[in-house]
Amino acid sequence: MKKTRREFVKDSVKCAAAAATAIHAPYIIAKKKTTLRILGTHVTLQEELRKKAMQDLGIELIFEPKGSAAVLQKAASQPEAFDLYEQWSDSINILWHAGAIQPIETERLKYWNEVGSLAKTGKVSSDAKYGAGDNPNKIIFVQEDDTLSSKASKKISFMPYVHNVDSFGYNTNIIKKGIPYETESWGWLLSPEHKGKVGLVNAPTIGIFDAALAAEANGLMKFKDMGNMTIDEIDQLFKILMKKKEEGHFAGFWSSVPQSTDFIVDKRVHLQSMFSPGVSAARGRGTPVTYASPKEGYRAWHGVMCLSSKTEGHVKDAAYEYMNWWLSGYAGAFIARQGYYITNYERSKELMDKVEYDYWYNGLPAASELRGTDGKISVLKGEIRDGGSYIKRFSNVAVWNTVMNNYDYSLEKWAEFLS
Amino acid sequence: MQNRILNSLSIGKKIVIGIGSILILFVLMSAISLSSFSRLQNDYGEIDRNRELTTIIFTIEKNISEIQREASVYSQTGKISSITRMNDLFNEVKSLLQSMDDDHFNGSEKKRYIDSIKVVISDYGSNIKNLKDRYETRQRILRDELPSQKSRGYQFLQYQVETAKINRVRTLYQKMMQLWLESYLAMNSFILERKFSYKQQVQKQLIEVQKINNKLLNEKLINSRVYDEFGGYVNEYRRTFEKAVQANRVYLSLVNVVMAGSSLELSTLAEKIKETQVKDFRNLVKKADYQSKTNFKIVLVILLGIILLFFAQFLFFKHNIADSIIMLTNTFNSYIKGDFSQKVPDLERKDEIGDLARAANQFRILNEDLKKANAIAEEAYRIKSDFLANMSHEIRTPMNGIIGMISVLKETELNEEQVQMLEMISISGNGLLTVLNDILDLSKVESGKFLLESKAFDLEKALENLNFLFKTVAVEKGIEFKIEINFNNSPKVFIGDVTRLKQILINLCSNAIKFTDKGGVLLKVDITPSFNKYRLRFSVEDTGIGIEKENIDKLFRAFTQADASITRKFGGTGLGLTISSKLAKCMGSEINIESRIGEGSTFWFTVNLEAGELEVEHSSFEINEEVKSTKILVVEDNQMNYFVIKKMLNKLGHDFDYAKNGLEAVEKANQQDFDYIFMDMQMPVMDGIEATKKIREFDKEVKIVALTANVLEQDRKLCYEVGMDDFLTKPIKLGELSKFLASKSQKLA
Repeated sequence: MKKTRREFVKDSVKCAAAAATAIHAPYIIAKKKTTLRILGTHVTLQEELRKKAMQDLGIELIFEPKGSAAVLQKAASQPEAFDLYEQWSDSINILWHAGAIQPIETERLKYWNEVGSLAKTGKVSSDAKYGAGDNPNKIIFVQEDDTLSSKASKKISFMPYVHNVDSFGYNTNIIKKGIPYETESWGWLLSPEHKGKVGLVNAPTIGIFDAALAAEANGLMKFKDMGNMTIDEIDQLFKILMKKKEEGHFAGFWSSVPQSTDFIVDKRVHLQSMFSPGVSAARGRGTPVTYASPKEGYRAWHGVMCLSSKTEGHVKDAAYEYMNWWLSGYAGAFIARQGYYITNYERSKELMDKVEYDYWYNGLPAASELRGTDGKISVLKGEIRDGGSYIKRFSNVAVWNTVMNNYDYSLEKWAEFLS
Repeated sequence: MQNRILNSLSIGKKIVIGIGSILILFVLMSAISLSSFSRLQNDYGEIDRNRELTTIIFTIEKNISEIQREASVYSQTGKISSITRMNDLFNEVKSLLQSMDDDHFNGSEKKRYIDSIKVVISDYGSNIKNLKDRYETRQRILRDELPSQKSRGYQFLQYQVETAKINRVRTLYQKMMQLWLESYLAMNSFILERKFSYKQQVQKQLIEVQKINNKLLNEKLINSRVYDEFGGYVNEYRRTFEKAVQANRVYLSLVNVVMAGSSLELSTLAEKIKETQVKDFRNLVKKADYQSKTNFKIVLVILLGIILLFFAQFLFFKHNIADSIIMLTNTFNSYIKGDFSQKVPDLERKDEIGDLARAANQFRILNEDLKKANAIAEEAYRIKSDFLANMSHEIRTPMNGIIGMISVLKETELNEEQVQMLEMISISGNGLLTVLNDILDLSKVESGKFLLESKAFDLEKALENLNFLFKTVAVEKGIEFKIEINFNNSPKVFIGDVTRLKQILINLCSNAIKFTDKGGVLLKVDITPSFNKYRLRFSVEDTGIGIEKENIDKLFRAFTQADASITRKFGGTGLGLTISSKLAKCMGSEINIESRIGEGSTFWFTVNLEAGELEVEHSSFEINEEVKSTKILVVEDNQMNYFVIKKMLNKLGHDFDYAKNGLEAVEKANQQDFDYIFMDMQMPVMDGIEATKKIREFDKEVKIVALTANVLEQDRKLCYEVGMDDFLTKPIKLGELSKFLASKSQKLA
């Protein structure tokens, strides 16, 4: 049966109320609300989710959204300053080695069994590419010796939840729309014809791959293993990039999703590295942005929810409840409307209209117009999601956002590149 | 329509509208100029704000670069003064941001950039605060924790070397010591150079160390306590290194990514603002240029409009007011000259000119009424004149009978009594004739039908006639009559109407004699030259009864005498002075009177006459009573008149024939030769004029003499025109006829 959005909201409230009564009675009786501090980015730290979760869980949530690098830097050095950390899998090595986060017990995760194969095996299907770099599967399981690997265990470094493939967005008012997987290419980012109108994300673990994919697509250089570049390769890549920068090729380096939206809407850039919500927001503001499906494959990322090494006691319990809430369906359906995938999507499917699910997950044309989380029309009837279905998109991963072995070296180069 | 509206406005309102419209255009022009000035002022304000903004943005950009530089210095030296300097610079940035008045740029591209700058700077500020913490954390780990971990392990190994009793144990521990120190060097190299190979080296070396430790335990060369203790040192050493690596990364990502990104974004935004500023400035200049050109054009158009309006108003006022006034003035002028044929223009107008036009029209209407009244009056006058002329004619015919008969009768045998009675009848008849002639003269003068003759005459001779006329009367009355002429070397012949001159003098003299019982009357003429003419002053002085002052004015009015009783006492028609006065006026003169009661009066007037020469034939003629018998044809329809003339001609002994109308006269003149034809004018069948014309067709010789009761000048003229030779008026007296025939026969002879 097809559910309307109104019914969906009603059902969600019922479910949440039931859950609150069943599981969280002690906190309600205690009458003192637990406060959970969550550090992350705008991608998942959204006011609607905060309100909904607070309502469902009866706890106080403080969201602190920041840019990727800033969030990571704060979390790595000040584990006492947060309880939960929400970002990308490339944060894990840093946070884990810095001792900023503690292992999460899978037994305390209510929906662990429903978590999809991507996190557990590194592939959405047997045909899918594993992708270069740190597939989250490589760093999810905590081993006896406190190292991280793909070898299954009952302790994980992060709870897998939101994930997506990224590419670049381009303004089709200015750049002619290409054919997905055929003509659309990372090479466009370094193409001289877009000189002065290209944006990059200011995050070395992400931006370096966009640049590397672009350089390789244009035949400017070749990488032995893009997910683990050598010093020479890094030197060569940054030489190319700095030359381009000197020529005025780059219009800006964005540090947050709203900033990326401003860049493309204000026509400061015509194409740039983008995240899915930035694309939706730009479209909502009237700029026709196509999220490219590059023939070279996507740069994939996986959202990680990490527990601060300093969080203990009832706050830690609340943190587990919040993690369980995230996988309970509502949030997955909510973020699906912003273009993100949830790891246990079957649970969220029940909370979505078939039309919505078909569009976002199955890559089918929208049977009717679809509304975004802000209530505005985000998808017109007949539109097809850029890149197609979940399986199709995640089968084409070129590289994962990764903290490479020579990350420390690339940091220095990145600074040179920016200065 | 428009014209009607315009004409319904007063001239004052038209002027107000005219000047007002020009004034409005001037005000409009001034307003545009003023608005242009105020826009220019705004533009200057805008430029000023932009300049201020540029300065602020430049300073912020400069400060942030400085902070970024200080961050690098701090990374190298760790000097706290760098942090202080960074904070100082950032505080300056913050106060600059606060001082920025960016509300003016709301909604503009610039404002968006400014807002972006604010966000970037706010992020940047919190990063400076963290920088010191991150640095100190890194330094603590690198300078304290890691060396201390190294030392603890090293000291343990050194102790083991020193206390080892077995060579192999010593050797292995020495190897471990070497690896331990080498890993420390690799750790430091990694931190400095960040090459993964050093990190790998560290890992390898620590694994090697652990392997040796394992070997020692496995070979039972050491106990588990010693093994565990060192295993702990190795794990702690590795973890501290990882910690150092992360601290370094965190520090570097703050400086190299977050802060460097902010700094770059800030300079990019500053650059964008600069570009926008330049663009805005160019636009402003372009706008101002366009505005000033547009304003110039508008002002020019308005100015042109003012000139056109001015010109249009000039034309309008010229056409509508000045021309109308001129037309009206011309109309008035022609009215003043008596020409009322022009219609008054602009009667339909409602303004002041309309009022004037209606006034003029009223004047015209009044004048037309007056003209009509005048015509009626003139007609009445003409009827009166005609009546007088007719009456004169009608009276003259019977008078001719009476006076003619008297003159014939006087020549018959009469006794004393009959003679006396006849004399009485004669006096009465002559009196009646005088009255008749006077009335006729007056009528002629008043009707303007009077024409003066211009003929040379001898003044002395003319006055002699007067002397002849009055001498006897004066002597009879026992008074003196004297004529005195002072020529003063002037000529004696002048050109003028001597008959009328004499008529005036006769009148004045007869009056003087009439009103003088003792003393005498003196007619005096003084002649003096006056330009190319001569001034003749005639005065008649008497020693009579005199005239009272208040009566002098009445003297010249027709039918008025100074005193009604005078008429009764002295007789006369009372028309004499009136006629004389009017005749004098015709000659351009005026009769003046000086009088004293009981002492006498002086009547005088002057005329200006040219000197002339007498025609010889008129020089003189002698009256010869000896008359040769002539053959005369009398043409007369009236039996009584015929009877009178017949008697006279019989008496005078002339041979004559008779025709009772013009036709008969023509026939008779055709059949016989006559010396004279006495032709009446008004006759049945054919009148005298027509008959004369016919006779003249075949006989140019015969003397045709008008003998008529028509005594008016035009009658005389008409007679001469058709070929008559002389003109005699009825009633005719025997003596006159005799004199006429005698003079003619003399001439003929």
